[in-house]
Amino acid sequence: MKPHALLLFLLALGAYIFTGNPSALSSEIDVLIEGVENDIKTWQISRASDSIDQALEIAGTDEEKYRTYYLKSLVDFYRGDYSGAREYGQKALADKDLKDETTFLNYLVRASEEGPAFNEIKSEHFVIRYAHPKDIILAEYARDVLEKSHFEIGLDLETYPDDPIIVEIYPDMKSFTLASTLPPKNVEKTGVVGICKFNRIMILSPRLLPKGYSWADTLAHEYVHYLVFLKSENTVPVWLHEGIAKYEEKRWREKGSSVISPFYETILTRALKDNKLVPIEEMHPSLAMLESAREAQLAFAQSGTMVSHLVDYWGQDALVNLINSIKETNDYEAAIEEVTELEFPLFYDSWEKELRSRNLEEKIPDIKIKGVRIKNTDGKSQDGSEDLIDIDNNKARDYTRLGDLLKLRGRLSPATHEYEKALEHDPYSPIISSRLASTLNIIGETKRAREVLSPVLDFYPNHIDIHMILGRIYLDEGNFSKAEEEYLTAIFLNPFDPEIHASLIALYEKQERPELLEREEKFLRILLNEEPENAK
Amino acid sequence: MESADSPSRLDALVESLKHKKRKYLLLKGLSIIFMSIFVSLALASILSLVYLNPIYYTFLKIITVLSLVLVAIRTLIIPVLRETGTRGMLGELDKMAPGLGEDTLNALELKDNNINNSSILGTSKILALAHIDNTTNKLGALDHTALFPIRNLKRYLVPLIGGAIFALTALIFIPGNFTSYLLSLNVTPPNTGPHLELGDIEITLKYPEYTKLSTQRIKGTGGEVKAVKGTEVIFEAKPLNYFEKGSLILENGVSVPATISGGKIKAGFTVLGSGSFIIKETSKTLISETFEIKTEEDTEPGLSISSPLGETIELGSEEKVDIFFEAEDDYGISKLMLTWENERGQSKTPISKKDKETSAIKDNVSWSPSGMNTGDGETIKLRVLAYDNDTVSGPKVGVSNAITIILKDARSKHKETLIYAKQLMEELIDILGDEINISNDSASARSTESAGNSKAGPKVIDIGEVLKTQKNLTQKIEHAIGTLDITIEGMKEDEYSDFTYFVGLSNMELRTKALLDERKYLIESFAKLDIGRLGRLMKREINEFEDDILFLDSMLKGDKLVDSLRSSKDLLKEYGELSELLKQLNKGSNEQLEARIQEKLDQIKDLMSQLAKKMSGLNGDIKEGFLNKDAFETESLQAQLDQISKLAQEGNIDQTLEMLSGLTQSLQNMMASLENGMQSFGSSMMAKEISKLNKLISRIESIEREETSLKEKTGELKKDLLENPDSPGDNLRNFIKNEKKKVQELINNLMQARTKISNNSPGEIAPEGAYLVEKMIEKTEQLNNWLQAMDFEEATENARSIEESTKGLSEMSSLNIGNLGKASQEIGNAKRLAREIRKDLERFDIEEDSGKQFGEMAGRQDEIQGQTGDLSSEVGELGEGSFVSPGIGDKLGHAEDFMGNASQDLRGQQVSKAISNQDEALKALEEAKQQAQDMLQQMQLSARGNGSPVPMMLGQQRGQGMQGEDNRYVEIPAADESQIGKEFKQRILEAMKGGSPEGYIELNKKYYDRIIK
Repeated sequence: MKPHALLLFLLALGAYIFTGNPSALSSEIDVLIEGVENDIKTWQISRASDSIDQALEIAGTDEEKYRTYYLKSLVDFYRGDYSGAREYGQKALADKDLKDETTFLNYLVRASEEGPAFNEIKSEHFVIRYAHPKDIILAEYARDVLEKSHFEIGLDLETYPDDPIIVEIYPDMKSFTLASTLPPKNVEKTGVVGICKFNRIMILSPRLLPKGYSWADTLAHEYVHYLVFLKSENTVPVWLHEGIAKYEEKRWREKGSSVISPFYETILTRALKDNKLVPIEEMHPSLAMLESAREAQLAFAQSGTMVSHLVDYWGQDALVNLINSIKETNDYEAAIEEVTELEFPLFYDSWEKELRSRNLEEKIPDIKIKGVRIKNTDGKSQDGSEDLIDIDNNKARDYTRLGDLLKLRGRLSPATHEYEKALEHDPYSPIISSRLASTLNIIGETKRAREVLSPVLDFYPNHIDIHMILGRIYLDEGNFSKAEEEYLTAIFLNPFDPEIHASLIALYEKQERPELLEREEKFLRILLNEEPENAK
Repeated sequence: MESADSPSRLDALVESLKHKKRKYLLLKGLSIIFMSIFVSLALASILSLVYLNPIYYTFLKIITVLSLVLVAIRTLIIPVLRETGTRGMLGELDKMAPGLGEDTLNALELKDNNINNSSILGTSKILALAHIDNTTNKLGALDHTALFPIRNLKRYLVPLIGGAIFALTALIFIPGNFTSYLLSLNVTPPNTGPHLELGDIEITLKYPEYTKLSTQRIKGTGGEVKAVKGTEVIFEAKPLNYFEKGSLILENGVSVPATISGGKIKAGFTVLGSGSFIIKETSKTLISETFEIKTEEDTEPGLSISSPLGETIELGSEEKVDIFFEAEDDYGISKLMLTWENERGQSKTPISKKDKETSAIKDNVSWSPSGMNTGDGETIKLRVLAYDNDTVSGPKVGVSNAITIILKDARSKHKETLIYAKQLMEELIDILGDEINISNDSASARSTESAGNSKAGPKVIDIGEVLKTQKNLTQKIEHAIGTLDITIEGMKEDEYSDFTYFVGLSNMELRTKALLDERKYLIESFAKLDIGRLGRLMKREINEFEDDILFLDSMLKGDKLVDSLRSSKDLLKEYGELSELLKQLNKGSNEQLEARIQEKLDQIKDLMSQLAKKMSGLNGDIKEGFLNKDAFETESLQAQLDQISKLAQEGNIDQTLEMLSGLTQSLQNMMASLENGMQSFGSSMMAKEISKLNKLISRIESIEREETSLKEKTGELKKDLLENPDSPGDNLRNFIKNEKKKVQELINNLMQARTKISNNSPGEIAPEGAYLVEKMIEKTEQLNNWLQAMDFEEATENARSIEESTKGLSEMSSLNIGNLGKASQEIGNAKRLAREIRKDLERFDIEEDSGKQFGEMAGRQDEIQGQTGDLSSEVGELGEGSFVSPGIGDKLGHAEDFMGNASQDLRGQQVSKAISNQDEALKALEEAKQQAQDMLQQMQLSARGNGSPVPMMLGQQRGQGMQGEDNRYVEIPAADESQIGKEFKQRILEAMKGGSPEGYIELNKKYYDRIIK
């Protein structure tokens, strides 16, 4: 029995002795239940788990039993113990009086029953679960990303959770939307592929997106949410939550990186120009619920730059103080005023003014912001045409297709001719540029390949193909460190492309780094289905 | 003297005696027998009247027959047997001449022994011969007539004749039923009573309705009935006996009362089968003879298929066969059916009849396996059935000869076509690669040359090398065209090939051949190789091949969708069959059924696996947005199938069926998604065009609305000016009224003048000045119209002209030219009136407000004209890169012109003219809109993926060459059901090969582009 539980029990016993009233004993369970409920709200799940176990032991009446079953199911669900959640959920559902909780209980039972069968690997502070055999690769890389995040972001936010944090990698859209409770349309529309909810971090495997996504940053982003949730005891509003997460998401790999990427700069500039910033109020209850991917991205850019503004002008402590203050006051406007000595509207104005003073530019012409497109099958299509639909310009798409057809048949020089024509119609398309650069690189025109990639890399730093081509170029040139950098960047976007691992194997062989070599070889075998399922 | 031939003479004599005796006895016996028959018949007939009883009749018959038999034995058989032997005759001889019999006997014995052997004879030969001779002589000398007294037979003649008369009388006057019984072979008499004689028998036959035969009345008949079943028979006859009451009794015992009226009995019945009937008089139990009923058969219809000839026909699943047949029936055919039969069972469909009532039909019916549950290579038997209209026995069915249809293996054919299409694409990609390389090499050489290698002097082009490369390229292009030809030919036969793509490929062929011709001309002519022109040609070729490759790529992608849909349909069919098998299993299990279920499950798994493969091939190729990806969870479908298999093995059939139903639903969802994908895929090709057309139509409608509104306002203004007494137009109305009076007066004067001029010169056909007056009258009438139309500008102009003319006339009149002087007064009046009218009109100014209104409306008209002009220009621009009928731009241009005219009219306050121009503008707008709407409809049909062609430009070849430009906008007709197939494709191909007139090649190209996009 844990000390606080013992304390509660002694208190209840004292009350019984003092009052001589047996009902005083039943108040003990009420105290326990109330404690559990509060702990669940603030994700103090270990404590909640201890308390509910005690409550289960002393629950006497049917009402008490069902109540504790319900909470036990909830606690187990939050702990990631799905069998327990299912068992107690079903028991609780037998009680007709739990009307208010029935819907949620049904969800708990269904999510526990229909969720994927996870395997897991553990790091010092994280339990990483995956269901698809190939997702072990992601889990392995995620371990490093998460531990770095634990250290760096923990340092920034001055928070280190006591319990291991559960991270789940979902193998398909169906299981992800069930677990996250996000409607599939919202996921596709706004591109939300990760979420921190129910005391855990959940992401959709980048395997399901044709070009992957920046899953490492996403994991870090969700981890920030986790910390902010814990630290603020769930008092920080969504927009600020997202702002802090956006501000801190790259912290695991670099310090002091700017929130404003060419992409964010472009959409912010347009929004400032058109006075179409997303109002703070519309960012509730979730950015995933906004009307479009553009709005969602703009909201991220706004809140991220707002937090950046706070840290830039009032220091990193201001961010920690802000969270602490919100926890105390549950009023973000008052907290900002307390930290910045500016009323919120003034703070907002100062942010906007500062943003406008930066003379931002619409760097990426004709930018299109789309949601995510989920694949249903692994791998690329035979002719590599799966991303052609992302080229909006018809002529550009046609010429690219022609280039692809020629390239597939080994007609590389004519293929570059077609890609060049395509690029004339869509000059900053990362899809066309990467195809052209790749082909140019094969025929030895490396210089031209770099020229083609250079502008689009700035605009689309998360386009995996660009990093893959650059990796190839650097590898061919013998610039191993740069090549490794590019390939690792590619891995943090989509670790399921065998070429990356094959290239890294070649690289590590040359660098004589056996441990890394062994790991890459293992991953390659998994991707080529040569490794037994669930091999760890 | 003894004679050596005495023995033989004796033999002959004895035999002669015996013969004559036998003859005599026969005649005698027969006379007695016949006499007995006559008497017996007569007696029996008389005796039959004593008692009407079958037993009595039988008794009578037996007695009669026995009596006759006895008489025959006694008078004929016994005497003949007894008295015609040798001994009998010898006895007779002894009676006639005592001892002669014995002598004759001895002589016969001596003769029979060996006459030369004395020991045997017991006497000498001479003596023996002498005795024989003697006896022979005695016999010969004897009068033999006593032995057979033929003359004595005469005594039987009278009784015989008497008996015959007696018998005949009895037979005639005694009821015939006993006589007939007596003479019949029946042992017992039929249950009949005394005979009922009937005369004047008349039968009326009322045939069944379906035979369409009119009622037949047969007189003088014996009473037998011959008719088809269901015929109503009315039997009428005059009873020759007493008839008080009675009935008609059918063979089966059914009795129908007979009425008697006018001395005739009448009874009716319906023929239901062959048999007989009688009429019975019930009070005296008189019975008529039996009348036979014979049914005529209603034969089944005769039917034959005359075309197609031959027993087996190969047919594509989308093709149809026309079946010509002939059917005939005696009483008419009620319906016709076409049946087809395959291994799964038989189906039939009615054939519509042109004429409702006919007994001979020559017609044809079309049949196609399209939409039926058939499989490639399947054998189907087709037959025509004809049902007659027999409503009594039920329709009889005639069945034609069968035609055996073997369904073509259309999918194999389609796959074959696709292989050629893919090969063509490969060849074109190869050519494109070569062309780009050659072009780039040339460009690179040029740039190197211009980049500073001038010191080395201009680069020498190796013409031989160029020609070699180009000839190689030419060969490749020729080969590709060959493959294209094969592909097109294949598509003609290929039922699964899309019509739109067929047109596209045909178009491709035309253009590619044109380029090839140019290429050959360039590199094979004797003139110096024109490098510049060759470069330009290659540029065009590159563009062409790029388009061609994209076109083929699009075609092959679209086919993947269609192929997946087909496989889904196959799978759905298998589900249905599995479901049926499971239902059977639910009723009772057996090993065979279980094995079939397992086999079916394996087939489904196999199909599912194939489908999954096809579906995965769609990823990336087809825009995923077109497809509902949730419907593609084939892995889930496979898992469900495994579960179904498990449940079926466990015998949990209900749950198995439930799961199968769910699986079917999933598959149907998937198919719906595919169909949606196909539609969207098709739509996407033309989505932009459709969108543009929609916008165009919307804008035309907007202009139409504005122009209509303006026209209405113009009309209101006109009405207001003319009719509203409170309006500023009051003066106008009065003005017009007054002026019209003056005009009428002017006309009257001129007409009087004309009369005077003509009357006074009767000999002249066209007197001097008459023509002028005539023309002036015309002009003045026109002036009247202008005034009416409130076109004051024209009216003023007209008035001036009339005034000038009247001046001229007046001068001529004063000079007394011709007969004009005689009408000087009228001409003077006309001159005055013309001047007045001119002055009035010049003075007249419409109220300021009205003028302002006209100005405003003209301004509005200018705005609308501007909008129309803009739209017309845009359509012109669209036409260059898009797919819009050239006529739309023209119509908009016309509308713009009419609006310009209307604007001018409004400014000139020519309100009626303005309205007229506005009307014309609206008509032109309506026509433009209609054209756009027609195109939109065509595109929407095409986008639905039903293979309906989009409109396109087609050239028309006339004679040996192009004669001028055909500016008609030609649309490929929609492939209606009757034309789908090879013939229609061939027709289009021929039309395409007819060539395109100048300018239309480019339009064809644009159509082609649109298919690609």
